Amino acid sequence: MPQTDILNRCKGFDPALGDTMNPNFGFTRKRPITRGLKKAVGGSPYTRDTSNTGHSFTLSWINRTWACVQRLKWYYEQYEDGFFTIIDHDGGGRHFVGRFTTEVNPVETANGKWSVELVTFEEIPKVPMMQYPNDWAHDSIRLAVCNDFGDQKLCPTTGTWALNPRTLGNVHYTTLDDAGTLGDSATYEYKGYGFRLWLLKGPEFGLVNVLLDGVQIATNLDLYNAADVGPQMVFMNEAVPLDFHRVQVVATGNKNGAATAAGLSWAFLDVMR
Amino acid sequence: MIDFPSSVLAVGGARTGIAPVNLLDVKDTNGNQYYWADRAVIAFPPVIPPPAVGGVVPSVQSYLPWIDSVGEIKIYRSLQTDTCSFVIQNISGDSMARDFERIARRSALEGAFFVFRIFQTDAQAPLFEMHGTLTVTHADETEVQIKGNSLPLDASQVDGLPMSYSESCQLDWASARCGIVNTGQAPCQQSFQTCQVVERYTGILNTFEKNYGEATAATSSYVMNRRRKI
Repeated sequence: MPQTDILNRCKGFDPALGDTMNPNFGFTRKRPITRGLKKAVGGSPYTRDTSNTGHSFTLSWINRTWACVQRLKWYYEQYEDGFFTIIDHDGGGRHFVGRFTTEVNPVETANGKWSVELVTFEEIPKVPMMQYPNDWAHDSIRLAVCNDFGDQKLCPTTGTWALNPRTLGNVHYTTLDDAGTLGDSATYEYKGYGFRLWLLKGPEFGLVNVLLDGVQIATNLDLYNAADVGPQMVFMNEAVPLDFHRVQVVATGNKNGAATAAGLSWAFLDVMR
Repeated sequence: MIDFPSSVLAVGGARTGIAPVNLLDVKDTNGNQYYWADRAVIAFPPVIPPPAVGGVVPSVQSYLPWIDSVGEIKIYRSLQTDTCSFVIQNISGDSMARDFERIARRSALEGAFFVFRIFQTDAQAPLFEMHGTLTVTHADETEVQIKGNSLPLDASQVDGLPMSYSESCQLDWASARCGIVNTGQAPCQQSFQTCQVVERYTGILNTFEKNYGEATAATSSYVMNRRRKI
């Protein structure tokens, strides 16, 4: 399990190395542009995500001990055809799995100290992580039923669905609604890690199943609530590696005994990026 | 005309989104099936049915990320064969043989049936679909180039055309397709004038040929340019 091999386990000083393995200047968390962009002379832009490439970091370790530099070289060579974990301790402790894609080149500075500068660490998609990103307040994005241009993004794959503009307090949003007929489904495709699913809860909503990439991961989620409470986070799955994923909600046609109908209304999808 | 499903119209026409995936279903002449894509996808509906598992043909299939790129797709909207090409990775495998070599050793993919789809994954429907047969045009240490010729018509694959473009009927007299019963009468001379079952006459009628007999053929008087392109 290479993801359990962590380059920088400690947040601070590591006595075994006489130094810290954390890089100088922090993590830039740069994400390479992976989307095609086209824009007509007089139109709004069209974009398509074409790759599941993850984060890329340019890291430097300045004036470090030989043990620290040796560890860097060892990780570079050991994981040339694999991956390891690096932790952004300064940025909330988020894990990244990947490998160095440029050479670790130590340069002696003075007094037995060494510097390794401008090494590129690239995240690798589709691989497991010890700790999946979970800072929903800062790192996630919200995907609505329609994008900001008004184009429908949530895809009704089976059955009859209808867009409905709604208001909750001062918030205006659109839901995609289905009567809850057995087998009716809608799918959202995204690029990222885990997701949080927001559906409407109320007295007229039924039981639904959730599929991730075609595999059922939740069965008979009960959307019943005695009062209409609007969009609620009904399901969360954080342990999802970076990739293109598709979340599908399928109506079962069944409902809670107290519910008046078996409806299904999709509000949002929070996606970890 | 085939309408796109409403699901494709919604998300396929949106200004933002995830690029569709290229899917290639292959079934070679030995019956082996391969499912390739330009990114790994699981639980996708295949066009070519996968092998049955426990007597049940799975409704979904995983696709290996083997497609490096999809080349030019030429569609002629005529009898000329549509073509497409793919570049498949030739790196994976072990120290004994690459994965593709194992496939080539088994069947060489020559004449393998393929279905190529540009698939909108969230809509669960293809934007484009092409059926045909494959031929391997180039293979080196890192990649394999494969060309696809479309179905249903690839004239170069037909050994012999059953008939040629001619004023003469090419059916055998009194054969089953001719339709006349041989009761000892004189056979036809393969011409329209002498045809005994005119509704089955297979020649091209025109007013140019008069070498069938004295009488002018009872044919259309429109002038035909026989060298025109159809």
